[in-house]
Amino acid sequence: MFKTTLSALALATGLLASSAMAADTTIRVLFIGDTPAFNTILQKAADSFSAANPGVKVVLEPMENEALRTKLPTLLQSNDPPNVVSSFGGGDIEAQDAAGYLADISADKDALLKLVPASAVNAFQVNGKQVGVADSFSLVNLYANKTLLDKAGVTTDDLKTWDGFVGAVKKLKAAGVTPILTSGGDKWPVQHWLLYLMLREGGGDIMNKVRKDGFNSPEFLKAAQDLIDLGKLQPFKDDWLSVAWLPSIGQFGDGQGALYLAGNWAIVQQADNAKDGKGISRDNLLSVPFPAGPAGGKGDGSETVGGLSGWVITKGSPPEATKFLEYWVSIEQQKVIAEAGLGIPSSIGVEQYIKDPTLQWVVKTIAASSKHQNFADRDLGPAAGGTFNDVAVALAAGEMTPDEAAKALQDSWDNR
Amino acid sequence: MTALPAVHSSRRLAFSASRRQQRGWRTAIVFAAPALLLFTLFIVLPVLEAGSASFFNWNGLRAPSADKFLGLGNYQQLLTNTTFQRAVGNTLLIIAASLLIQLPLALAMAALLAGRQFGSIAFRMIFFLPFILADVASGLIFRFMFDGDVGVLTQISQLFGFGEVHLLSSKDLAIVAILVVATWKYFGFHMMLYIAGMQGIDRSLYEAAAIDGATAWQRFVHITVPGLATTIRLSVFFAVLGCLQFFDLVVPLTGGGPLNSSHTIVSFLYYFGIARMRIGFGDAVGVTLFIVCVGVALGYRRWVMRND
Repeated sequence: MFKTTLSALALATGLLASSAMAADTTIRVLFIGDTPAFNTILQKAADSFSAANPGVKVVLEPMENEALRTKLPTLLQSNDPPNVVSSFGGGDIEAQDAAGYLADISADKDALLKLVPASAVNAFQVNGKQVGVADSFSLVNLYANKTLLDKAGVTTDDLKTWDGFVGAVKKLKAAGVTPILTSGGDKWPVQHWLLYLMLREGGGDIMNKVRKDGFNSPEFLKAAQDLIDLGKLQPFKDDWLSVAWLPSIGQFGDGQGALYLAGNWAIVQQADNAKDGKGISRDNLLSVPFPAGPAGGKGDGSETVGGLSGWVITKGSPPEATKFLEYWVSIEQQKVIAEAGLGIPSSIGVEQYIKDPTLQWVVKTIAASSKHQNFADRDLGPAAGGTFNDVAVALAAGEMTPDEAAKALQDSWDNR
Repeated sequence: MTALPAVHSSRRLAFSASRRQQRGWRTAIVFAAPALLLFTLFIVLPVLEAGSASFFNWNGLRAPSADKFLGLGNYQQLLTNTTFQRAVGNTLLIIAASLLIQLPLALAMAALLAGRQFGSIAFRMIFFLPFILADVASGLIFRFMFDGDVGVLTQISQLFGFGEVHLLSSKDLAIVAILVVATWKYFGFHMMLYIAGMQGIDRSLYEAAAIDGATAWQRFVHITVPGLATTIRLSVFFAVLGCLQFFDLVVPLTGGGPLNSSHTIVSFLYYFGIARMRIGFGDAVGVTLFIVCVGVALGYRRWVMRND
């Protein structure tokens, strides 16, 4: 009797212990959480994954974009780093992997390839090692407030070429409309201007060229001069040098300026951050490709800036972290993102769920692009990428010459 | 014969004194050990580690490797970096504003509020409250107040028929905004130090001076200020060291911008060292700042506070 009781006690203790251990599997997800609707969908996915996997708890840790980037190096070195982390790939994951902070999930590559196209898988490989996966595509292009364009007598045809664009800026100014809004406070929204001009002046391979041969290339110097010339027209709002990204896109939603060069996330965020919470109505919000030219440039005008944003798994994470990632990029989860118009998921078969005409246009534009260039500050890594943002703002503000810009970038690239 | 016991006695006394001294050292070591351990763990070792890393081009993600050794390269880059030069200039400006505006203002307010007149306690609390508020919260509040779109400053300006005020967008005025907020935030702390110091001054000195016909200004200059000399020296010490390490307000208020014009030494370290994963370079900034701080602290103790 005693032995039976003892065995029962041991079994009960073992069961309790095993269930306690199972409940201890917590997956911490650190992500850019500045879009409330996206956060809600991700939370639902986390909850349903936890429900389908008893004992696994997914904890979401939203953070603002810049805050995440600056805090991540410290978090990765802690004893308790997050398991799944938002990432834009490029130089960031190269540095993180070189330091040994990313997990090797190559064994899950085949499973991922059933969920997303090869481009989304390949974008998160470092030296052949799978470290994560892209869950969405993005495109940076001009967003325009139709009412303000009409007020100044500007049409979207005017925006097709660089000369036409410069003329449109002058017309908008003459009509008392702030032509362009951007954020010199956070800086990264200004980098798109310099990067697009580099692509137009130097063609689709310009980033590889400056990485290899140096920034003192004629194409880079021309692009820098183009940005200086644009800045001389004083096209930006008075506070552009200090305003942060979210307030600046809110200004666009409020109708304080006609144009914003931003990623497709701006469609939702211009409304979220507008004073009335609605922003520019969808029929009044135009999507326009970045102008072709300037004349003499090597670009064909179809190069695009954007990226594949996704997630990496950190080293030492439980296998459930990768399973959650697979769950998240599956069509069942991503169709919700597509239907809500929150982005362009990378999931196979998601196209049918993209109802938003602007996002449909984005998908077509990326497909027609001769080169879809990753964001410069991500492509170059944190050190040179930060300098790229500094340089873009300084050029647009007329505070730096093209030669100074090239030297600053080269120094930073050499000391990365 | 009488000398021998005396020698023995003095030897015994010397031996006893030596044992007492040894016991004293042992006691001192026992009591100091926890503090020394903590000091070594949290100050000495990190400083040594930072000093060592400052000679490498290190991104902070793994131990620096030999092929990334730069020697004094990071320090050379630092000295020629125009943003760092501006950050040093801004830090010196903050020190100057602290010594020439903040502390005199604190002293004046302390003189006005040290007595028990009606409302003095309330005003002391009002002036001290900003010091209690977290630096980050203060920075965010003032960023909102200085906002060119909806800030109080713009609203007041528009009330008088002027346009929007973009204080934080001007590379010349952003640092002024920082100085204004820093003065508002910290003068109350120094005021409280001075009030505490004033309460230690013998009241009979004021009564005697009043009987002799001294004016309020004369009493302030000849009794209050000399009586507060020790407190003022301490307050200057806190102010200078605090300004050298000034950081928390800068990040939410200006982020070092626009165009990197309002960085202090520490915000420069954060944005150009940590945020850009150039930890070796950031360590070079940290080590330079540490040497300056230690130099200022020791020099100040040696030459200014030697009698305190």
